[in-house]
Amino acid sequence: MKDDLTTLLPLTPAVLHILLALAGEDRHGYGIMQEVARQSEGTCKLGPGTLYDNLQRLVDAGLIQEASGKSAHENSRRRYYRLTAFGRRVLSAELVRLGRLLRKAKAHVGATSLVKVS
Amino acid sequence: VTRSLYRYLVWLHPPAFRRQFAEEILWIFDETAEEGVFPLFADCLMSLLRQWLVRSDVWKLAAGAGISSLLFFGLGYGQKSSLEQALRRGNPGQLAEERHRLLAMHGRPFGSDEAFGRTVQAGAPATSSEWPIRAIQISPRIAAVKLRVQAGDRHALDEFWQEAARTGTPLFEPGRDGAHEVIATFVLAR
Repeated sequence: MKDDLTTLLPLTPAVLHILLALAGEDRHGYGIMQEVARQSEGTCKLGPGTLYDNLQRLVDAGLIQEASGKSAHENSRRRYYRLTAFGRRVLSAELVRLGRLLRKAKAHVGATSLVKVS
Repeated sequence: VTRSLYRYLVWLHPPAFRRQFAEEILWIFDETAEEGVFPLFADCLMSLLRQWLVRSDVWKLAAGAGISSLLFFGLGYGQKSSLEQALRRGNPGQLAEERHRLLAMHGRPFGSDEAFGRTVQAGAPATSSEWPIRAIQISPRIAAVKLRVQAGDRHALDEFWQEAARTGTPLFEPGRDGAHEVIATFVLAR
């Protein structure tokens, strides 16, 4: 079942941002929130409730896992999360899908019509 | 005060979620409350609803209970309607069949009049608009047996039951006007 990536796509914006935040390094919940805000330039802000609901679902789906070791040196309340190999494949598949979608959008709408959002 | 309120909202989450994430959620609240608490409270309320209504099995239990109740009351209503139809038609055969079926299913009488829990006498309506079944106090035959028992006749009850066994039940007797009214009496031996 894990090999069937298509059933997990498309990812919700919150899940995509969380996986992107964990693609570089292991992070704890608050670290993920900060990274998501930084990546999205403040347009996507996850609240703690939304964040941990998504983290729980991603752990259950095997896309991320708790990273052991780090929390022993840090504050005991901080739990770190790590992207699994499967999670990385799902993220790659989603980025490929989004890339194709963007190319189609450019072809249909025209690159000049795509305004920069800032 | 806001932190206590927020902690209370977090505490209201399902136990499994609370055990796993409450401390970290409160830690994030401590770190980000300066930026404004309204989004944090809104997020916590949404999370509360989501965890109880979507993630937990509470909605499944509630849905199961609701469906079971509908089925139960639907079945009861169907049985009640069936019984009332049988009574309305004055069909003793169907009535007896209903009686046996309901007693077999429930082990006790069932119906709007508790028709088989006590002796019920049925008669034709006085007018066409009236409900075709009405209760009367006592059938003439049972009234006669009662008088005999009160007078000390030891054989009255035995004879009554022997006759009931011979002629079958319910007991059917002519009503007030004789031609249009029939008294049906259901008897239960104890």
